[in-house]
Formats: sequence, C-alpha cells, structure tokens
Amino acid sequence: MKTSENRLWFRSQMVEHEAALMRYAARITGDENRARDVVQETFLRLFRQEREAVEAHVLQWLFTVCRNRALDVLRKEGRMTTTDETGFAALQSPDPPPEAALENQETLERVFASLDRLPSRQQEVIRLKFQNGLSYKEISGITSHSVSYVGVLIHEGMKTLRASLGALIPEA
Amino acid sequence: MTDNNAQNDSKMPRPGEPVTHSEDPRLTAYALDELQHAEDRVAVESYLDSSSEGRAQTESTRALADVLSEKLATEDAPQLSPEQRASLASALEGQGARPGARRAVLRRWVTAAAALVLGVLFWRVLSGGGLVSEKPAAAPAPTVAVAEKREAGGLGTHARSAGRSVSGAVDGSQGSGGGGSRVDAPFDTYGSHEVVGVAGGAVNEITGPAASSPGPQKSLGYLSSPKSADSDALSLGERSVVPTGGESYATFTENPFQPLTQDRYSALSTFGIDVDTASYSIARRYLNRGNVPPPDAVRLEEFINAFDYALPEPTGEHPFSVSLDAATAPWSPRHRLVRIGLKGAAFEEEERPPCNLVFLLDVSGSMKAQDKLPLLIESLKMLVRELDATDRVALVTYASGSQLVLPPTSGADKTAILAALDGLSAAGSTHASDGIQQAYRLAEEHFVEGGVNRVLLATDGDFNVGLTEENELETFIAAKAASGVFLTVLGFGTGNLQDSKAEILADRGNGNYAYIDSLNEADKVLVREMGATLVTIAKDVKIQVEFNPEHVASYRLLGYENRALAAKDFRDDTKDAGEIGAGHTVTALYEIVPVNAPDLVGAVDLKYQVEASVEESVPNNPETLTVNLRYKLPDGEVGREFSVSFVDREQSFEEANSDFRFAAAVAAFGMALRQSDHRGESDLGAIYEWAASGKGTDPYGDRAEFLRLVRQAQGLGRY
Repeated sequence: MKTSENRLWFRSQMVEHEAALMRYAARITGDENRARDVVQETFLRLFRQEREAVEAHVLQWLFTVCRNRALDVLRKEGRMTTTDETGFAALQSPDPPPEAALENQETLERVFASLDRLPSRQQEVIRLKFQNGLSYKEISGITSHSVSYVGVLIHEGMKTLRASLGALIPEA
Repeated sequence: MTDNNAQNDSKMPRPGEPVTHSEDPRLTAYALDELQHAEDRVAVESYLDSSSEGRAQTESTRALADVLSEKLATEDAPQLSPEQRASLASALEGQGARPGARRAVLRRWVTAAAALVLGVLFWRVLSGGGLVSEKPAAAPAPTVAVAEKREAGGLGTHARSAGRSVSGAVDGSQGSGGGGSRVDAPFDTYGSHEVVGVAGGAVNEITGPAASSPGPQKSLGYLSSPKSADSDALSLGERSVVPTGGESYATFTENPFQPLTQDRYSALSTFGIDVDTASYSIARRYLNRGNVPPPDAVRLEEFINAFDYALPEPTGEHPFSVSLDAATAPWSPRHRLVRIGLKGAAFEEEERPPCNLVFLLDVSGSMKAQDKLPLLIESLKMLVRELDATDRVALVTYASGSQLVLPPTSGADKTAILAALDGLSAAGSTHASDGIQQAYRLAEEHFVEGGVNRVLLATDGDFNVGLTEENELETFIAAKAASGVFLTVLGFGTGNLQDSKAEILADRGNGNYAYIDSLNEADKVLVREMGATLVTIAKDVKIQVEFNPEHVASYRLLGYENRALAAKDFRDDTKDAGEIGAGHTVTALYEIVPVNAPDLVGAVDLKYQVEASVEESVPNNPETLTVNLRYKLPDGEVGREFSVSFVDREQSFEEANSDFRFAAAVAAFGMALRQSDHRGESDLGAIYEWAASGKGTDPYGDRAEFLRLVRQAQGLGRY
C-alpha cells in the first residue's frame, strides 16, 4: 500500500529514468522490443519496493535489476556467449538522426562511433559513468566488477577515446 | 562479488602505492574525482608534481569527460509503448487503492519463483565471465509483465489522480491539525493558513502609506543631521558567465557585510524581490545524481524561497502582508538573523481570474531526452487539468520553424488540449523563427481584462525564439510585459541550460523562472503553486531597509545579489523589480552584527574613545530597523508604499519558530554549497539538525526532501 505522495515519487522515477534504462537494455539485448519488456519488468519490480528501501540508491537499483533482467532474456534465448565482446552491442538507430546543427552532428557521430569501437565492457562502464552520472562504486554494484576493475576499464576506455577524439577535446 | 580477471590484476595498484607512470588507472580516477582511498590522492599528486605529461593527461581526461557527458545526454533512446506505460501506471495505482491486488501478485510470485530457480541454474552454466552477474535478482517477480487493468488515457490519467490525491491527503491531515482555516481548492497554493504569529515580540504595525513627499529615497528616521546624500547601497559584483558542461551560470560575488559608516545612507539596503526557485531544483538535480553543484548555480534567495512558510494573510489595503522576526544567527552566535516575510493574498477557486495562456515550447532535437519533452508534456497536462471553461490555452512550438499546434482553445475542451500535447515530438534544430512574436500575438489577441495573460516558455536552453540580436529579445519581452502579457520560463533537462539568460528573461517579462527536474516539481510549480506562478498580485516590489545605527554595526543581505538596487531607485517607478503571485511567500534574511557584539572580547577597554556618542545625540529608539516597501498593482503605473518597523527582542535560535529555523538552515545549506566565507560555524551536520528541528508539519514532504539532500551532500564528502 503506497501513499499518494509515494506513488507520485514512483511515477517520477519512471518518467525520469525510462530513457536511460531503455538505452541500457537495448545495448545489452541488441533489440528494442526485448528492451521494452526488460524495462517494463524493471519498473514493475521497483513498484513492489518500499520507497524508503530504494530511494537513496534508486538509480543503482534500477540499473542492476535492468541489467540482470536483460542478461536473463539473452540467456533464455540462448544468445549469450561467454566472450567479452557480446551483449553490449552497437545498436542501430532505427530513425535517421535528428537534423541538428551540422558541426554538432559531426561531433556527436564521432563520439558515438569511437565509443562503439571500444570493447563492450569499457563501453558499458563509460556509458554508465558519463551518460548516467553513476560513480565507480555504483557501477561496481551494478556490474559486479570490483571498484578497481571499473577504474581500469574506464582508464583504458578514456585512453583510447582521448586518442581517437583528440581534436574534439577542448584545450585545457 | 567481484570478477577476478587475472590478466588485469597487474593493472590494479594497491592503495597508497606510488604512481610511477601515466598508465596508472588512479590518474583517471583522480581526474574524475573518483579516488577510493585517501592515500591515493597523495600518491597521485606527488606524481603530478613531477610529471607534466601526467598533468596534461589529467586536464585532457576532464575535458573529455565534459564532452562525453554533454554528447551522450543527447543520444536517442527507444521508448516504452503507450500500452506498457499505461499498464505500469495502473500497476502502481493498484498498489495504492486495491488491497486485493496483493494476493494476486503473490500467487504469481509463487509460480515465478519456480521459474527463477531454473533460470539461475541456466545462468550459472552460461556465466563464464563477461557481462554475467552472479548477484541474485533483487526480488522474485513474475516472468511475464501482466497488466491487470488498463485504463484509457494511460500515464496521463494516473498523473492526474496521483497529483489530486496528494492534495486530498493533505487536506485531511491539516483538518485534524486543527485551527487553520483552509481553502480547499487547487488554487489554494499554500498548505496551512494557520497563522503562527510573528514570534520574537516584533513591533509589527503597518504604518500606512508613507509621507507623500516626492523624492527618490525614504527620509531617514533614525538620524537627523543632514550630511552627504546619494550612495548606492549595494554594488553588484561583476557578472560573467561560466560554462559548466553545456550549461552556463552567471558568476557573482556574495553580498559582503556593509558597515554603517559616517555616510548616513550606508544605513539603507535596497533590493527588488525575487520569487524564482530554479536554483534550488538545479542544485537538487546535481546532488541527486551524486554531483557537486557549481557554486554559481546556488542563489540563496531562490533556495530560501523554494519553501513555503506560514505567514499571516494580508488584511489591509495592501495585497501582501509583511512580517518580521529575528533570532541568533545559528552559524555565528554573536550575530542576529532577521527574517522579512512577505505573503501575497490568496484567493478562493471561484475568484480565480480567467487565464489566457500561450505555451511556447521548444521541440528541437535536444529536447528528446526523457527529462525534457516527455516531462514537459506530463507537466503541462497537470496544469491543463486545473483549467476550466473560463480559460484559454494555445500551443506554439519552435524548432526549425515555429508552428501553431493548437489555436486558443477553451480550458473545458481538455480532450483537444491533451491530444495536442500528446502529439508533440522533438526533432530538428533550433534556429531563428518568429515563435515568440507569434506567442505574444496570440496572447494579445485573446487578452482578458483583469485576467491572467501569460506566455509560458519551456525550453532546455535554446532561446532562439525569433529575435536574435543582442538584447532584442529582452527588450521585446519587457515591452510586452508593459502591455500586460507576462512571461513564465520553465527550464528543463541538463547539459544545455542557459540559467542566467532564463532568469533575465523572466525578470524582464514580469515573470518567474522555475526549473522542472521531476513530476514532483511540476506538481509544486504548476498545480500547488499555480496561483503564485500565474497570478500576479503586485509587481515591481522593492524593499528598502533602514538600519538603526544605535543597534546595528553592519549588515549583510543573504542572496538577492542580482536584485540589488541603488538607494535612489527605490522610488524610481521606471526601475523594474520582482513580482508577487497569489498566495506566494517571499522571504529575505539579513545577518546583522549588533553594535554590542563582543567581537573584541580579548582586547583592553578603549581609553581615548568615549562610548555611545550616537546615543547621546539621538533619543533612544528601540527599533532595530524599518522595512519600507514599494510596489505597483498588476495594472498600475505608480508605486504605492508602506513600512513596518521592528524591535529585536533578543530571541535565541532555539526560541525561534520552526519556519525561522528551517529558513536559516536552508540559507546555511546554500552557503555551504557555495563554499561561502560567511558560513561561520555551520557544517552539514549542524545544518541537518537545524532543518530537522524546523521541519514542522511539512504537508508535501518538501522539507523532508531537503533533509535528504543535506544527507546526500554529506555523502559527497566535499562540504
């Protein structure tokens, strides 16, 4: 039984985090429809929690459940392999990119292209860090990598990105 | 549980181990402020001291981090289907209303649990590493998402009922609290009308319209010998704009302590009120994401005014009341803290003036993010549901060009308005269009005499609404404000926000600026405080405080830095200032150093200066200060004036009422986030205690949320 104030809070979580979770689930499952089911399931599980129990770390909670559900789906469909490079796939955007300002578009495309070339583990943690603002600790909680391993993955990924995006990084 | 990848162990240094090369991952962690062990900071910094390569890498990592954060935020995301959203919303509703639903869920859990056991086995087999986690799923759950009940209207319907039931619950709790008369209507924007009374024994009489003598300044009541005139009470710190990621916040210098000097006019402090609250929601957004808000995004007055305080309703000829109280400044026990509270007249639902609203919405590609257009649509739906047949709503969008999406439509025709909102989608770039002219033209064509005529501009930061020349937009908006159409700016999303620009536009447009970071905030700004947001009851409200040098050595206004006015501007009715909305409360805090403050406790008594030369020349006046107010009625051109005097009864902080303690805590929190030099003895622990002691009934949970934010900030370990 939730108070109406708490229900509003749960609804806000849906509005605020749907996009982030959809991106994440789609990356892992490689498929938008599967991602939709995963995210719906994630929110259903959230709704069964007490607000007090999850509020302090709700983003980490959502990503953890979302990740586990997404891997579950892959596993059920027998598409899971044990190599490092599966799962966090480059997702083809079904829509043509929005006609944003041209130079901006170029930057965007280069950032995404460089990111897509990273090993999937690096891609995953870099997206969690910079797209979703999660800390090393939270990422460690979500991915079950140790905090120091998260540090190594981000360090290596950033090194590659610095090299490939050099010109786009503003001079300090 | 952690995965152990032997090949990576060599790359993982032990805590405190010296950094010897640029491949050490702690360098990246340091640049991102993610070092896990204090001793690593020493190791990294000593390496950076000796390595220019390391320093360059650190800078470059930070710059790359900014680029990534900014660009990744704009990435397209697939969306849930409308059916899924509706089914989720009804699942959530079910948890509030129907106890029977629990049993059904439980039954499904049992079957699901069996499936889960199989699932875990399978999973183990496949998890040779890679992305697979050994963590058990957080909770047993049905394997199939089941919509128990579908309702037409999807999310929207539920947003409404959720929002409504919040006010319902509040009404109930306050009824039992007793004492307060309560207007039970959506337009009653503030919870309790219970008058707490102005504690501290304030001399709180309204002395009526001031003497009609013309002239730019109030005459000085406390000192009578004529001396030099004309001094600007406060000087505005120079303003420049600092980009933070893609966002920009104007830098400003905090008001310093102003001593009362030989210059008699140094006893005057003059500013225009500010009703904006965006700064608080922006800081909340940062803190909720575990980030430190940029100090310049923190404006104390917007923090303080983000909360509602119980103040007496205005009763006399003026549309707002003024209350004063004072107590020890908790962060600086020798100083006094004086609170000036303004409360605008509220109205009953049936008295609400008709609204003529034109929404001008940014639908450029950057608005695609979930916390932008989708949140905007949900937010406006909440507002639209409060409207009725006397109101008119029109929708204009701008992106590559501007488009009239919905001509002015009766508030009773909710289906049409909601459908138009639902049909919005973000695409295209923003560039010059005539969106703003079109919006104001519509508002003017359907102008309602005596009603609310307002353009609501919602954007994530692109103000390319049709006027591109420097200041052209500001001038246009100011001119339109003079004709009676006011502006509300609603900021959304991250990464692109032109905070200072939004604030300036809202000022020029006799309006307000709110930042919407969640449905809760939308509910607060657009539903609970709709009157305050939309209905202006007094405009160009200015405050000029005269301090009595008998009691006050120096003073400091907390916040309002960009609202400072020269003393002579007080009676200059061409000088713009802030507006008060219906039912709105506006609070200003002054920190005062009393003349008897024993700041020099350890020093000898002065031999050559005789004490109390001032007291000898002037009859003893117990008043600490007088607050002079000047304002115009919403359609008025000439300022009206009144004043309130105040005697400080030396109340301690503990004796102050809960609102006072809470407001002080909020100010102290703002100072902590700004790393202010004036924060004195406050730390986040103390601030938490002060706020907790002032939490009061907190009908909407706003103050509880503040307490959570203080904890969140403590967790960052920065303050």
